[in-house]
Amino acid sequence: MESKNYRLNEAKMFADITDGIAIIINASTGIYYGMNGYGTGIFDNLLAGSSTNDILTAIKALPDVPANAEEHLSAFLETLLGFEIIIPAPESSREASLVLKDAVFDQFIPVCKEYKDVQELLYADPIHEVSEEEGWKPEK
Amino acid sequence: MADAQEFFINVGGIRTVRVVSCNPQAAPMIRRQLAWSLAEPVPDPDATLVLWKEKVDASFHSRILGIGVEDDGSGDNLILALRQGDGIKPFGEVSYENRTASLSDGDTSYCCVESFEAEEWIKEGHLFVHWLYRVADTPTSHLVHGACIGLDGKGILMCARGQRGKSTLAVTAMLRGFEYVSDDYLILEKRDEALAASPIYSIITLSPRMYETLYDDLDKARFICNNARKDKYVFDISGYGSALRREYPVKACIFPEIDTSLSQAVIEPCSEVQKGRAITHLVHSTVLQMQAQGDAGTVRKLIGMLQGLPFYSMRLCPDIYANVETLRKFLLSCR
Repeated sequence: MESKNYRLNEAKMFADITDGIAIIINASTGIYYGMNGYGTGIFDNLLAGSSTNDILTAIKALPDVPANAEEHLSAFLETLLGFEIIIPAPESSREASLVLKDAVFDQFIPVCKEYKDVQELLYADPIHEVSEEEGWKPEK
Repeated sequence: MADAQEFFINVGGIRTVRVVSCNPQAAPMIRRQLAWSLAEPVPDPDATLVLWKEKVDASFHSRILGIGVEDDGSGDNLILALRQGDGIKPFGEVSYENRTASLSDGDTSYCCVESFEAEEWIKEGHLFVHWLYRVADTPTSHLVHGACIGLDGKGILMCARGQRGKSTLAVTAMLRGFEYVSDDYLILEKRDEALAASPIYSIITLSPRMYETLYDDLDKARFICNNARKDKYVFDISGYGSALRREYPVKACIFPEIDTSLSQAVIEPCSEVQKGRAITHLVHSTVLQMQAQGDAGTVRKLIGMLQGLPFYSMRLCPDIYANVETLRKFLLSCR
């Protein structure tokens, strides 16, 4: 994989990473994008200035990495570019770090999905503030 | 309906709606919770919410709804939905776990809860927020999860998800002489190019630690109850009505984050990326809290309301009073 750098397409996208999950909103269309934990880790490293090679090095340093991890990374980057979430950035390098627990939980497959209604995102990946006692409803 | 009582609520100056309480036990809580939104009766309210007390369990379906649904013992919510074209539109929900049931029929919504005891009711406090979220959703207005305070008619909207210090900053600022709209939920309305904020609730919740810190300043607050988890106290703050502002002009947005390494708060203009984070927080937090439809149109509307405002990041230090004074200096320096 040819090493590249990317940054947030800030002219079009708003993004936030809270509690290990990235939420991106297209400011013009109002469409939401959500990532799984492993994808969020990769996205976070990209935004912090790591190159794709830096990220691949970090992935390969994790134990029990599947042989197709690089393929999944490439596909994920293509998805982000396709959604116009990221755009090319000047070359830079920074040591990347990824959370093994997230990578294993997501089976080393980073995912970014488009949600035209946020409700779909909430059902798909309930990252809302749930307490064990209260369930879904946060308390006033 | 012999015991039914009516309450009229001014929703951000854009709508007047009616709550019909079929149980007298609900009345004191409605008055305390919505003291700042209560309005004079109108002949044709824009919407009505009917509240009553009813045991909500597996037999509720056949007793109230007239439908036979086998209870599979899972305790899951039952979502009632109508097929509309290719989609399904939910119109009601029966929850055994939360002991509530709600249905919507045009401009009238019906909701029964199993208990009107204060603690239980506070737990269901989102019931009003969820209903008013729908009522306040007009082309130019929306209910949002955020805080708003200000000075001399210059309001700032604080955009942040929970645990970022916005509620503490808003309440402490009010106690220290700031103008106050809300620490949690409010109605935003765009009029021409100006944005205005209005309150919903006249209650706040404080952790015991925060209550101890603010004790000397809380002379006009009245304790209502513990929250259901018993980790916070609920107060009626309608005694601070002189600080309250409705349809209050919002001039800027603040994105607060706690930084325990600081000895003094720092306020700086947001970069475009930070501004995006702040807007994402407000939009996402609003949708999460409401558990509501967050279609792209709604998200676009919220973004459109905020995008023209100046955004500032505020890194809060552990001293809550110092944070308030930094904010005061900042607002006084703004033209």
